[in-house]
Amino acid sequence: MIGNQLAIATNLIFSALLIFLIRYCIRLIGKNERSVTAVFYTFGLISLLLSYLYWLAYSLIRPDTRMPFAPNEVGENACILLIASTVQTVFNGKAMASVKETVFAIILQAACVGLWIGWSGEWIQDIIAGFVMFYFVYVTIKSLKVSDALSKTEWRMLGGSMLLLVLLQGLTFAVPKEILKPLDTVCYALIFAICAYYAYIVIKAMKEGYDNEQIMSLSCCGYLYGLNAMYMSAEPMYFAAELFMIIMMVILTLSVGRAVMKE
Amino acid sequence: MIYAENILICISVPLLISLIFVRGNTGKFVASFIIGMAVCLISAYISGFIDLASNMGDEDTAIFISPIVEEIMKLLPLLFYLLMFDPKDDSLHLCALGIGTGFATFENCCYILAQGADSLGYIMIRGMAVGVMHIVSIMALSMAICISRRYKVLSAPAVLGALSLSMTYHGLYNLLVSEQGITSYVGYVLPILTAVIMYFPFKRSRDME
Repeated sequence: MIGNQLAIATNLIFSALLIFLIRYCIRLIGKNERSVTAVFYTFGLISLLLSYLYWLAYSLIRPDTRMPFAPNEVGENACILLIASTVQTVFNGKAMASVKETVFAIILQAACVGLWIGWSGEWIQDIIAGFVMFYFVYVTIKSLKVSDALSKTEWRMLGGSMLLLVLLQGLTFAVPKEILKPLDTVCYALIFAICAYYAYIVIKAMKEGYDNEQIMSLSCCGYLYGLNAMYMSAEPMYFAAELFMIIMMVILTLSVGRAVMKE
Repeated sequence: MIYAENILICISVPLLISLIFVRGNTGKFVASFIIGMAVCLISAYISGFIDLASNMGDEDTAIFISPIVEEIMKLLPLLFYLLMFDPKDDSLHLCALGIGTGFATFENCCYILAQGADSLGYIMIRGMAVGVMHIVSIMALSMAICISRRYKVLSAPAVLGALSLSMTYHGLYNLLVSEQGITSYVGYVLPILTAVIMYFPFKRSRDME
């Protein structure tokens, strides 16, 4: 019951924040009417807002029942696709420096999709969402490589820790019950350690005055990681991951705003 | 039990005959209208099949599955027209409007035949809500396609993103009106409100052409 109330409260807060972000983006469209970047991004935010509103309406109309099929996930997928299209328009036409990282990231994402199927048992929904995430991973890695936003050490740290996280999460299906709880704790510690490390990278980038494309690609990657962290967490840790995702979205919105003004 | 195929034939025949005598945009609109009605019937078949195959129940299928099926089905003829004929923005909007209107009209006809038309108040609310909702969702799709085409960024992710947006919108409407009370009132107002909000970017987009 308390979990549901907390979920409704966070949902309301994030919806209000999204309305502010959408208002900001609509003003951007007003300032630069020919900016497709702003249009795509605004549509993406509206999709996410609709998804939140759907969940909220469902919680009020049918409390304590599980959706037989979650149409709000369609809204989340719309948001991911439209944000990916936004980033793609900013980095359009720029050659990709390397495919190594993309292949590695897509394999990691495929492992995450496998984990989602293991947890939820919803094959079709998770596979469709997986394809959407593959495209988002491709666009994000491309933007990170093109803008040269991460150093070699940061690539290794993030890649290594994500690999370790996926392996540990995979182990939770195989270990006996008495080990499951400590293993879960280790997984959560790792999820939020990566969040903290990533937040440090983004704050450092903002403080040291990295260029806008770098901050955009970093916040886009943060948003991607936040989504994965959310899907890997149960309540109440889910809300902490969601908060991280929303913070990254705010930074992404600001960097989209700067990109639009530059166009 | 209603015989939806018979209703479709009954409404389509005069419209098909009228196609002989009309040309240009009127002809396009009438043809799109007929396609919209056919799409509505096919969507009902698909939703019915999913209902039987998944044992989800009529109400849950209408709330959760129908919005997805209906939005995909409405997009398909629009996409076909776009890819085969590369029409101008105005023609695409006209085609979208025809499909949306035909869809909503046929759905309302079947609803009235099945449930009766005793309450004028409710029938008016339904006409203003469902009728406008189908038009709003397909117009949003058509606008998204035109914008991405204008900026030469028309891609599968952009179209799928716009499609998913209209599915979520449609799903939200169906969910809100599924229960009596304050949520259903919000649901009934939602399409009109969205139509009013959408009118301004639509007008601006037209002015920019």
